[in-house]
Amino acid sequence: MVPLPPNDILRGTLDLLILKALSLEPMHGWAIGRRLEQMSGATMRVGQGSLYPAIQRLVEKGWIESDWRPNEQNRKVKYYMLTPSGQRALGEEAASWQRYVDMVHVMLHTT
Amino acid sequence: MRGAGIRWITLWRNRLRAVLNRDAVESELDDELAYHLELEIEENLRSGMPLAEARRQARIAFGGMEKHKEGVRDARTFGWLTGAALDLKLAWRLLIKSPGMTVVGGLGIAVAVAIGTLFFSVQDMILHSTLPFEEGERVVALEVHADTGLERRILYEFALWRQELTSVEEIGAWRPATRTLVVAGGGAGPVQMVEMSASGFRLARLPARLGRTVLEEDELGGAPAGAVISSGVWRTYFSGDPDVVGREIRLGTVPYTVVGVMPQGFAFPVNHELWVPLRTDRTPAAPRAGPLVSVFGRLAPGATMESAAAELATLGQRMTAAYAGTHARLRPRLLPYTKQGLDARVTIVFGVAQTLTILLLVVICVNIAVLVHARTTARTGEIAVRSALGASRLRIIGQLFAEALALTLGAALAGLAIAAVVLEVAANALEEQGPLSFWMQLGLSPAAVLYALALAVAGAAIVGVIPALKATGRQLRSGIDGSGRTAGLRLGRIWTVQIVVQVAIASAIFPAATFGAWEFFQSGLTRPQFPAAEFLTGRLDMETEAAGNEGGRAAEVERAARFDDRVRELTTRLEADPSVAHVTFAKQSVGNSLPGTVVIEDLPRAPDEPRTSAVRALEVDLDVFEGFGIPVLEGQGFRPGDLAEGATAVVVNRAFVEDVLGGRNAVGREMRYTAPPRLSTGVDTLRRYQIVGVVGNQLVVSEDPLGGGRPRLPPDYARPARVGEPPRADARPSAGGIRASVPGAHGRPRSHAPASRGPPHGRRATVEAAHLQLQWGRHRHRHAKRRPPLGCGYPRAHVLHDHASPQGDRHSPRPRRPPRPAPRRYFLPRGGPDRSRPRCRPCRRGPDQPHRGKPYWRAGGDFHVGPRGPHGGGRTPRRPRACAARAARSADGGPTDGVG
Repeated sequence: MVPLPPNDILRGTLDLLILKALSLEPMHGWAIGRRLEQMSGATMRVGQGSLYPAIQRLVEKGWIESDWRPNEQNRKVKYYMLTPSGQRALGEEAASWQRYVDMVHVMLHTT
Repeated sequence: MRGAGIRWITLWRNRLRAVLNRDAVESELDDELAYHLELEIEENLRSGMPLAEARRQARIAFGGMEKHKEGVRDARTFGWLTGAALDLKLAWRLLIKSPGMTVVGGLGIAVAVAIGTLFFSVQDMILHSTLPFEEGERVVALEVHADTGLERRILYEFALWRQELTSVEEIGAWRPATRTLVVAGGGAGPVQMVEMSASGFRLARLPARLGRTVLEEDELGGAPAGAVISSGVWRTYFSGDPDVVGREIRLGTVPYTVVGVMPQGFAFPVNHELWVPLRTDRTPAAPRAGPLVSVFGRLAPGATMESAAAELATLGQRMTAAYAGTHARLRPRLLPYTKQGLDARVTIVFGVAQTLTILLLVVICVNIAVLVHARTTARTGEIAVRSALGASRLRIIGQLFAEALALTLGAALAGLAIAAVVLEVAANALEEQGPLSFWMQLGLSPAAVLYALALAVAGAAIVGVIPALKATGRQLRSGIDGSGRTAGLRLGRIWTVQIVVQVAIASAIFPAATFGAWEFFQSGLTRPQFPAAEFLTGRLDMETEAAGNEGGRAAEVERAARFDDRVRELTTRLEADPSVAHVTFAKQSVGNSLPGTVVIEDLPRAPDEPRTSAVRALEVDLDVFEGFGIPVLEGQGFRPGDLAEGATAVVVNRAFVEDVLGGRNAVGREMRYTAPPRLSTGVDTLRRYQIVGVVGNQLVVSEDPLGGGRPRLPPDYARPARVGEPPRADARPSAGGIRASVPGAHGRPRSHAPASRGPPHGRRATVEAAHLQLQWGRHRHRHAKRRPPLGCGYPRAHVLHDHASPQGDRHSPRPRRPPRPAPRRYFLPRGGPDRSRPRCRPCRRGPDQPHRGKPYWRAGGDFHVGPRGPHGGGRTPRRPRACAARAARSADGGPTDGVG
């Protein structure tokens, strides 16, 4: 497990990561956390205290929406899925993040 | 697009659902988090943990359930609302739990909010009012300013602007006048009329209710004299006659034909009720000639204030070049119509006043914040527990803010109630001085209410948020670490500085505030030192041939002589009335005696004692003391020779002797009097006056109403004034509109009427005969300020005398004026207006209401009617019941005897 970036950076990127996770398929909160962990190669684990408020923020922005659906055990579970505006936001946020990373990378390697 | 719309609707439905159906949403959140926890447990079980350990590890990994829920709630759009109800409920309990702080703090904030709202309302009315017309904000006034002030002899410029200005259209001019409107069979009375260009009607874009408005052709010489009347005049004088167009009226001596009736609410240009065309054929051939006028217009489409002002300035430069002799120091100016007479200083004064009121609120709130801080410190344990249970810092601050908001909002509502009452009283007081401009409404506007609520929120931020930030910072961590130990109150540097500053401000303000409040209450409690209910006072005005000041000094002397005749005539008629015992005149209303200073040079005084003493002066008729039954204590009263040119006699009262002379002998001493420049009185400031007598304090000084036994107001003196004396060259109208050199009259009814003929309700009656309207009653001290105004303690009347009717046209009594849909309500001292009784024309008030004076900028003065004194018949003063019966006859259309 690697140290996580500072809170403000994590908070900004967490929204992006959740959008990325949901771009694959609709999933419930626990599954989103597990998918993020899996995507990071088990190097990052998102606490519920950050995950659920982040999901709620995305819902409030209209980037994701929720729906109560039955799971494999036929139990009603709250699934989240991307909205079209969420899809657009994912593209824009990912591009923005990439630019930011490139910029930091360039700056760090400037001699 | 449709899908986006549906998603938007769904989003907002869910947001509102989180507020309106909170239980269901919370239940779903519980289910979601519980499912998450179950999955964690299952995963732990799959990894081989026993059930108990799997649950324990899952709970550890999951963290605080309540904290996660709080995080989700905070992330909701209206998350702050969900806890608001609970916070307000807690706040209410806390207010009840601390009644002392609630009452003291609430009262302080209420007063501050009330003061702030009052200033805001007045500022809003004066600075931000616009004409209630379509595009009223584009109506402008065109002025010419000289070094000495506003130049209003601009008829020549008006004609030029009308021809050449392209960025201002509908340019018109107006000049006001007050005339006696005479309607055959419909009564007579004074009206506020105006000569106005036809474009004044086009500005309003309002059609006439009946007939037509003034047209361009009416402005030409030789056109038939047509007049447009207001809806109020139409109802009052013509009983709403639908065939009023074409009827003949007289304004003073000039006949007119009614050509139209304007709709309700139209009173352009200021507060006028009758319009006649302004004749353009009177335009002078050269500048600085012709009558005084004001000019208005509307910005042309596409023009701005800046572009119009630039064009006007260019024209002004041309005028300066063409008429260097008269225009070298004149500057044309364009400004919004409702900003006439206002300059930058007014805005600065209001800004400073508003800042001071906000500072007052801040000082009060800081005081309360200190108390709240002390209370919050004692609640550190409670706050720590809430935080440990998952409440975020924002949530706790929100709770403390809500507690403060409950206090400040309640106080703001009380402050608004106070402000509403004060504004009502102020509106009445302003009505006393004359009608406001028709676009001005003094009252609580929606903007003022919002301002008060903003003050409440700002106050809550100081009272609640600052202590909350401190309580949820390091103090909170120490509270948690202390495991229940309560931290003591440590104010810290910021709080200490705040307390020191506010105590310093309060210490500086307190003495002045106490003095002011004491003066205010004393003024409210003072009463005249004579039987006020037996006197009535009125104001006598005389029409001039035309509005304005043309004619020069010779004309003024001639007008004064005519006025002298009218005064004598009125005096004779009043004295002939069996119900009137005594009549006397004064140049000023007795209650509006003039402030000034006197110097008595032969008076021994200590080196550090000031040479001047503040006094108030009154110029009166010779028999004023007899009229008011005031005995001469030393020396003598006035004698006929005291009216001679160069006479120097003055009479002082006991207060003058005690305060100015220190109890020394007064009779024979010489003194010099100086009035403030703005109240040029016509009194020769260089002349030495000689005190010839001393009278009691009844006329001008009230004893301390709270039992101090010592006159609390500056001493007074009186000098005789000649009736009809022409104004001095430097005499200017006072603020009350009374020309300093023009006499008024005071009178008192005779008292031999039988008791059964008393006024309605035993208190008041109204006399109406010809041009004279009088009201009886015990009015309150509406304009009492620094002294008990003699003229305010007893009834007032209004007379508009027709200069061209030396014998007094015997018009029929003025009809009742139906109450106009007034923009403001009246605040009655007691009872309510009895609309069935005759109303006093100028103020449209019932007999229960104080009279409002009219600001006529012409010859005028107050008169009082009273009993004959020791030298004038010696009647025993009694109540004015005879007049009551006469009023009743008058109101019934029966015969009237006596005055008029």
